[in-house]
Amino acid sequence: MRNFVIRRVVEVIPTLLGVTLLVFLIIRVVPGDIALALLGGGEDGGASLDPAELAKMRKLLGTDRPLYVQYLTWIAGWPKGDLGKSLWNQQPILPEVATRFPLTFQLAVMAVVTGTMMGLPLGMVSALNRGRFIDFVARVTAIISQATPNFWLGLLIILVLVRTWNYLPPTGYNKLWDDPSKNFQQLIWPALVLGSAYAASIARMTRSTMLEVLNEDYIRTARAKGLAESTVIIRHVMKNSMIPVITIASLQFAGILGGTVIMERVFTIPGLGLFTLNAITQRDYTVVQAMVLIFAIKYVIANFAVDLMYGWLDPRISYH
Amino acid sequence: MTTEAVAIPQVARPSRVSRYTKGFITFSAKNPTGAAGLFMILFIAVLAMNYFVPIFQRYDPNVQDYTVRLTGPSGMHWLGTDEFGRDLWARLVGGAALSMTVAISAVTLGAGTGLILGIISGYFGGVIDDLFQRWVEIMQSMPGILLALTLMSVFGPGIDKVIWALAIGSIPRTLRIMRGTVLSTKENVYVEAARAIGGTHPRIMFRHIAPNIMAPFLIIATGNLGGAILGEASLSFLGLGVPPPHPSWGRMLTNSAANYAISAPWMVIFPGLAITWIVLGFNLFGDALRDVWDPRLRGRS
Repeated sequence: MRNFVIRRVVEVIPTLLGVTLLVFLIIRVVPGDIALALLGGGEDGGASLDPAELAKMRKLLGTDRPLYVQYLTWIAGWPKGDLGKSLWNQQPILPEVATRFPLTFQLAVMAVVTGTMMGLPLGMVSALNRGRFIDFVARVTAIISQATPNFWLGLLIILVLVRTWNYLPPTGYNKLWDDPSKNFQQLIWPALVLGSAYAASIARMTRSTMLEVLNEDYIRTARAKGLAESTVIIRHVMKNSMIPVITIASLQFAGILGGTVIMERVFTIPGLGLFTLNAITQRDYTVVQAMVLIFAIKYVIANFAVDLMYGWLDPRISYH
Repeated sequence: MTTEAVAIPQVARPSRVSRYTKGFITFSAKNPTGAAGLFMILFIAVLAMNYFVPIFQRYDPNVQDYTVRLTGPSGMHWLGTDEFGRDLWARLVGGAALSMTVAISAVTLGAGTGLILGIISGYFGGVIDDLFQRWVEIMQSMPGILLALTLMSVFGPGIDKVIWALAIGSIPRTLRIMRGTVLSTKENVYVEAARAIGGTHPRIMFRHIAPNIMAPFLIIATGNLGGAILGEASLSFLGLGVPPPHPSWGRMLTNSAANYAISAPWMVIFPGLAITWIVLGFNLFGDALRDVWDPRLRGRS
């Protein structure tokens, strides 16, 4: 088990380096000179700018050095907790990330929890009532919610809240421990929105794998030996259906992470998503590359957790 | 001697139209939801055509008329007007044309590239395959919307840039699935036969393997269309997609809810309904294609 953890950690390092290198290259190679853009001389190629000032700006940003030096310097900072400084206001990035992280993390967790709580029962009910009206309703609900853009769903919720109760979810930074009620009121709506699309995938997957498992011999055996139907469903059907469901859930997790960017914009939540979005709009490239790293780390950790869950669900899977 | 015209009995060969109609009826009978999806797509396609040939449309989507700012749905303006007095129906029609163009171009470009790279990756295997798989892993370890946003910020605004950003984002997924399909297809006897008679690698890849994986490819591509529509709408909503003045469903929703929830809810409701409608259409149609052609892919797309 310990070896497995170590091996997994070693394995993800190339992926993290790869994704950051990729983003680094996209950002640095394609748009030309950042210093030029910051000084606002992008249109005429810097002809109207003072060359000395331009050189000073490049030195300040560190873009006067070769690309590989810039990348290696940036990586070398990671172990020391240095993710670089914002190009825009020269503030170090990590403290900003640390303040904003709890909100986004909480939103993602709440989305996964609400999504699973909605999706699993929906899929189960669907599978156990195959072909009946309730199955039809559950499937249509899932298909429609997969097609609904999450930002629109968020806007509709705001619209309904404002029109019926004249209530707008609180905005701004509300810590969970300082003001739980405000924090909850702020995050429950975006979590529901993100959770609904997640629930739809989970429900569809749960339904199809449960239908397969229900036909297995061991289910007949379980019923034949006189187990209560609820025990059969929970102990035998559910547990054996969960592996594909968890796989789908983990694939969808990247969608939830991306979704937090959009939800934080819709509900004005000052988390990592809004931070990233602002950096992208302002072309603050050091922040963008740092945020891509953070998102990739989150994704990798989530996948790791899923791998551990496989082993718990299916004893045949062992970790070497 | 008189020659009489001998009537040659004609075997009536069904016309192309009637064959297609028949095929469509069989398809609809087996897959009513797929047929519904196709109908939804066609509806938006007809709507989109009004942008170029205005039949069901009275107003120009970009003409501002301050005398009718924020008026509700009426006989004059079927879906109401926005904050600049532009006709919402006309803007939705323009958005339909734009969404369809962007989605179809992005998917053709992205899925097409994914197909070619997937064939190469699966066919050659070895180091080439490893490299492609690593790359796919890297691309998939960041949320799709984040990649698209980063690309948009680097490319700058423009419809063509949106198409590129969405296309690049959809390559890895297509590549991975097509590679898997190629791995099983290349074990077929006809591939071995082609190799035995001296077929070159490109010939085997694109004349023997490619035609045999068209069904899964078209399923994946159709599935990607809905995603591309959502992607364009999200990018535009976040302000990094299609630039003004082009009417885009996503951008029509930017800042609309908090500001116009009371005064003009139609501005929030209709563009989102349009997006949901077309994505639902593509998803239903894609699912039906999958059920007809390749049920094994169920759950993968």
